[in-house]
Amino acid sequence: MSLLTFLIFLQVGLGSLTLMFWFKVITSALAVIFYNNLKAKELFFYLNIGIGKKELSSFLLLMDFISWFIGIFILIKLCGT
Amino acid sequence: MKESIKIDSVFLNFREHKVLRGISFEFYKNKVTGILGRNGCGKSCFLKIITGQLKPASKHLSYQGKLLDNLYKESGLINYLPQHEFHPKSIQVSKLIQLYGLELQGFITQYPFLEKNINLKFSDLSGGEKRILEVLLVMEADTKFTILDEPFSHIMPVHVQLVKDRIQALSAKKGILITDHQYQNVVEISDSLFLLKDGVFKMVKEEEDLRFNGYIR
Repeated sequence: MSLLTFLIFLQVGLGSLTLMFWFKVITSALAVIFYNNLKAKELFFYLNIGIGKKELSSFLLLMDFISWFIGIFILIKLCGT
Repeated sequence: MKESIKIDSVFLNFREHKVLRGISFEFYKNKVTGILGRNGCGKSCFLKIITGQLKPASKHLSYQGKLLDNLYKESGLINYLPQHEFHPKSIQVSKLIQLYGLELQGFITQYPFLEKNINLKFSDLSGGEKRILEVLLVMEADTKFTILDEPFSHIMPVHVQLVKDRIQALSAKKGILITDHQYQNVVEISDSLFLLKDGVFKMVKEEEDLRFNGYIR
């Protein structure tokens, strides 16, 4: 999804940034839900070593957003959009 | 006052089916508490409720008088061995041991049969090797209580004996709640034993109680 937003951003330019941001928010939330379901069996491992479900989801979301922001920042710098 | 975890007024329904009917239960530190019950009687549901993975219609859970939503809310209070394999496939065995806060060399010295697997990924172990590693990690980790759901399943007899011996030794420093279908093993190591039947716990004082309640013939 990040790659898709990068491609749209490259095509449309800065004007698409707000729309891409909210697209990223929604798809990231869906991705965390999907990931939690996919990895549901591993939850007890994280709980056993002291990492709660909320911390785990927040970490995933944060990493996803940081990498997206870095990607957008690089695109702006490279293309001078 | 003995350290204990207390749960009461647990009601769990699946549509019209009443799985748990107002359960009251307490288990203590430095004791091994066993739970027996037929398939589908609600044992695993009960464990999922106290670990916060299942929301019942009602429950009242406390540790030393302090109300808790689930037992993981209190740091270092419990850890839990579920029935299923639950470790990430890509983690190396040595890393897993360290993530559980265990000293690697000491753990290997105590369980030398694990040494050959120490540099392997969890996914590279056989089914039995995975299970015994999971059981030992959860048991040995430093928590006040450990909850074991079917620790004797899928492991070879010599390891079953090892696990039984360790449970009894570790009960000197933690409370252990255990459930398994290998009921003789549970009976042998439990300080107190309960049978979950018809949605409530019945105290078991001798094997005859299990027969009377239709758990064994």
